[in-house]
Amino acid sequence: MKAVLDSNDVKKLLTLSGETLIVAKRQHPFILAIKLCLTLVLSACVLFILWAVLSFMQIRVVIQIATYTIAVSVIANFLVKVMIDWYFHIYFVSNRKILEIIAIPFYSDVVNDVFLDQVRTTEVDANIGNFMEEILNMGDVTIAFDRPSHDQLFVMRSITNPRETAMKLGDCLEVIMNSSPVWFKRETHPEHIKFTEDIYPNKLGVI
Amino acid sequence: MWTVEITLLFLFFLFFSISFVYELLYFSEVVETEEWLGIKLPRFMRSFLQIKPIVSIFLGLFMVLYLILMASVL
Repeated sequence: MKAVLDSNDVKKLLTLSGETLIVAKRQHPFILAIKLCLTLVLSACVLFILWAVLSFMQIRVVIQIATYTIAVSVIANFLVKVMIDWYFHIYFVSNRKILEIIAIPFYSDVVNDVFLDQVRTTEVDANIGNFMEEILNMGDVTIAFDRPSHDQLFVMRSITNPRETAMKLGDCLEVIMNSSPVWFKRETHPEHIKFTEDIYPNKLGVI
Repeated sequence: MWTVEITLLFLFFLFFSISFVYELLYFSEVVETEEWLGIKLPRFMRSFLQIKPIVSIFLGLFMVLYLILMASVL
């Protein structure tokens, strides 16, 4: 259950030609641990209430055992679901695209995709919000885009090692953006001067 | 009391039947997601997902048997 993925783990997501992985991560394992702890605490409360009710009703032992079995079955299913939801929530950055996948089996799938040749990356920020996150080396990395992308921000929430990730992403995306012909090679075309001369004939020569 | 217990047992049987179907469907969805992303689940989670429907159906069958037993006693 590792939080950082390598190119072998995500080779099916490297679909474009010449695509290489920069970063692929899940959320910090602490997020999973918090969710599991909360589930366990709630489960303990439910089991306690169940025990109180069953003791009060004085039902046969077999039915009491069956009731506890059902409760444990639901709790186990929920715990596994929490783990699987964390496992299939992936942030993926390659030299061609940025991708967030939230695959919740049997419930929903969200794929948030940004193609790097269609946007200009303007900022990569790391945000470690509090003392706890500082200790755990956990935080958000925000990638800001210029228009015409629909979303102007792509946030990788609660990932491990946000500072190093932001530095690495910043360097890699800088190289990618510099080699991008769409955003950085802005030529002034000679046709513009011709157009001005058409509107104001013989004026440019006088000035 | 008997009617309450029999009703409860029947509800438990229904629960385990629905749980069995849900767990089978959930497992198939998980396998589909694994294939889509090319990311395999850890073995212990996969084993749990495979074993859980079998446990549910056995518990459901146990409920039915106990229901029959209670009905025969009555």
